[in-house]
Amino acid sequence: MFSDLKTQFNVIKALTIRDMQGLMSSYNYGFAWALLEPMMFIGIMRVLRSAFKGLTPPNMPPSTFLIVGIVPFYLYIQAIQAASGAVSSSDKMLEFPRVTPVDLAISSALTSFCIYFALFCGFTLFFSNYEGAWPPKNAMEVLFAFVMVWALGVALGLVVGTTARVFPPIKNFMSYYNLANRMMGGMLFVATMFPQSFWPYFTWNPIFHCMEMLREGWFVTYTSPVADPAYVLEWLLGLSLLGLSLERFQRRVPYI
Amino acid sequence: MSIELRDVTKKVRLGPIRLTYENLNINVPDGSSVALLGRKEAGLDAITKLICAADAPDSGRVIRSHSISWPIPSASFVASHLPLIANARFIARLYEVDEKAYLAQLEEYGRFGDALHTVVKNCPAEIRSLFCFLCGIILPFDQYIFTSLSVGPKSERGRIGEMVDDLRQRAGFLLIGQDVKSAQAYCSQAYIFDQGVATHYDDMEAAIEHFSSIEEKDVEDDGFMADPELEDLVNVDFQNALP
Repeated sequence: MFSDLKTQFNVIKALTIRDMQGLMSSYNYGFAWALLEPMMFIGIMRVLRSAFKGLTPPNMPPSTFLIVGIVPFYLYIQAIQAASGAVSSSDKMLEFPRVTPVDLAISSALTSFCIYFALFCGFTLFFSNYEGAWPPKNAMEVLFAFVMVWALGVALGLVVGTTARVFPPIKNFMSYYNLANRMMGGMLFVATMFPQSFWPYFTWNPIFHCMEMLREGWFVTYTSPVADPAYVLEWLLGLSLLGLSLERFQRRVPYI
Repeated sequence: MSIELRDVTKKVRLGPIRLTYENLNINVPDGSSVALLGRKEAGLDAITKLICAADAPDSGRVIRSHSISWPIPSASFVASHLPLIANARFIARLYEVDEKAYLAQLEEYGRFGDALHTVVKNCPAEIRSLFCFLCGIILPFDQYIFTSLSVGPKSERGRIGEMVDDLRQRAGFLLIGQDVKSAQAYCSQAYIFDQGVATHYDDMEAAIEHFSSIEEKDVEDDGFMADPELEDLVNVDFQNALP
């Protein structure tokens, strides 16, 4: 069993390195786009927050606050897209008998993880130093939440990708889901910005818990009243089991 | 048994090619040299995918008891913006072999010289095909799957033939496609694929006679019109259908 796991690890490693090398081939549309999109969003939100000062939590520096929320959220969306894309369509790499759709999904999502983790480190290092929010209060909590965001994205991507093989319109629903999550997932706010009676509308969402953990782990001035790592792990376990089971049962379904 | 397709049913939908294999039974014994021959319209790409586990059958089982190669000399792994050597490193990492030893062996067999450091899109086609061929055959598989043996410069064909002969001594050999000459030279048994049926032959002469008797149809991709299931829907007689 351990030799099989080792083989799968090496397969994923080889595919991830290949994907990373592929990013550099189309620099303008690959790595650079990954850099530009969140940067533009952070810039726009920063300007908006300067104009409407009441929207910014008073105890957290605004730029670092935005970066700690936006970059992991983009990672989440990218991980969903990468994993679902890998399992929903046939890939040339499947010609290699030792490569499976799950390997492709994980390696593709790992490439996104590497890009966004580098972006996160670079942005936060610069802006948090500038705004006096360095170092993070609990780096382990930040790292845990960052990895959880990615893992939840991969697990949901597996569910969406396998479902898309029998029900392609689910891909259209995902754009609405992402839009709703942008507004309600805690990317731009924290729980304490709302009255307690509003919290149940957000706390069902595991991504909101991850965002709360990210802010709590980074800022000395913030302690989340709702962040629950066990709740996130429960969602991750459930989604992973569902995604892997669906992938297993869908193998006889022809690719569209 | 190295590879076995047991009661496999598979609907083949490859562009204009639309047929169904039902209760397909194929045995590729350990260490044997077998050819799977068929014209373009036989949908052998789908059978190759089944054997390589890139696709699953609609029903039935595909059993692989030993390690098998990918369809050599497929170039699906080749990233055209990278040098040949980077692509070779990918294969070495994927199959967990020592990179240095693998690259040394590749250079020894292929005599690529500086070409190994050339970006793939700038390499001549014959060097690329030789590279893809060698990447596969220098790995230690129990069963090698080939879709073509016309690789490399013409001057190297004799040496490639020797490599294939040597490979057949140590492992199984499965040739898939319509290369009758290679099948005759290297295989001792064959399956002929025609109209959704695979016929087994122990006698290569008889197999080739059957294969030659199959007329090559002009397969043109005219989209959904080629699908008999949809033809009835499209060819509606509106004149008589109207009240």
